[in-house]
Amino acid sequence: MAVSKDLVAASAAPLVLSILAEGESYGYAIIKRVCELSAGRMEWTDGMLYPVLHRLERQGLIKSFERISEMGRKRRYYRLKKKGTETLAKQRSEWMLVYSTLKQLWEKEPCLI
Amino acid sequence: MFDLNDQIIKWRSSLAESQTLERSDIDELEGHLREEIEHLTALKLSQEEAFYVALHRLGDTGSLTEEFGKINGSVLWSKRLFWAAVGLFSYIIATYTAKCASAGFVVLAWLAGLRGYALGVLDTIAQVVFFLAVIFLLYEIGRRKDRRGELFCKVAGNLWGKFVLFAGVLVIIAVKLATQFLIPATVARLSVRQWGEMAIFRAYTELVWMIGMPLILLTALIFLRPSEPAKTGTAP
Repeated sequence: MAVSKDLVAASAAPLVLSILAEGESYGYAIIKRVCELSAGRMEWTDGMLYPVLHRLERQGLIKSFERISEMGRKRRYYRLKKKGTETLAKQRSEWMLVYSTLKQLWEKEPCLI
Repeated sequence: MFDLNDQIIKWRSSLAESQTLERSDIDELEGHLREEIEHLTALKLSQEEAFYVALHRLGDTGSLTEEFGKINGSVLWSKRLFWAAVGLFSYIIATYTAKCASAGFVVLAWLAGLRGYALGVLDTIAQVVFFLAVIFLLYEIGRRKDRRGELFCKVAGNLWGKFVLFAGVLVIIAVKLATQFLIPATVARLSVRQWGEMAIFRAYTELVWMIGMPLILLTALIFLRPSEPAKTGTAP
């Protein structure tokens, strides 16, 4: 089962922020992490991650910096900023609210699932 | 025969054509593409197969440029305006420097005894040489130290930098005013005939300039049209 496009778009920012909350990372590794966490069921078009990262950076939530990778290649890493941590906490409570609301409704009628 | 670097160069230029991606964006995407290709070739795919699979996963050029356009659009225009302003400012600095320098030369030459057409010729040569020298100097500074406008941004963003810029403009205006008064004071002592000879020469050179300048600009616009250089940023 694939996740719909709208939901992928809506969850992109909290997902990226949460992955960066685990520690600094770079584009390719973030995509791999999403793939691993969703067991390959949340399919992103890889390239679409980068506009998301750049938007988050422009909003001051994350910070990018360049570093030479183990392969000797220049790579752009991203790290969570303080404002990003705060935003993530806010987004997290919003998502939890949506989740618990839906859960209560769905648990009443388990046959729907 | 499949040449990976060749294909990547082609792919880069197709991304660059839209102008919504910055060079660093394309570098980052290329890094991703290469990493995915390495991953896939390790799974026994041929380099060609890996390239096409990785390209498909990364997304087609159309949607990539569209997504990047959404976030880079306004930045792109402010950058273009910034560079247009840098160009205009350079032109003004070059023109003022050339005029001030040539005025100085004319006065010196007049004191040395030159008259008439000779003064006009000297005036023109000095203007052209100084104009080209200043443009070349600014171009060299820009090319060597300031590929992305960081130097200009830093100067314009810093309080002292702003002060220096402002003071610099004031100095240019002051020198220009001084020479403007110096020249008439000198030529007032020339005979009407000699002044006329100098003015005629000036009129001709201005005519050449007025025709030449648009042609030079047109040539520059055609040849400096932005395009992705045939070189990859992170090629091994």
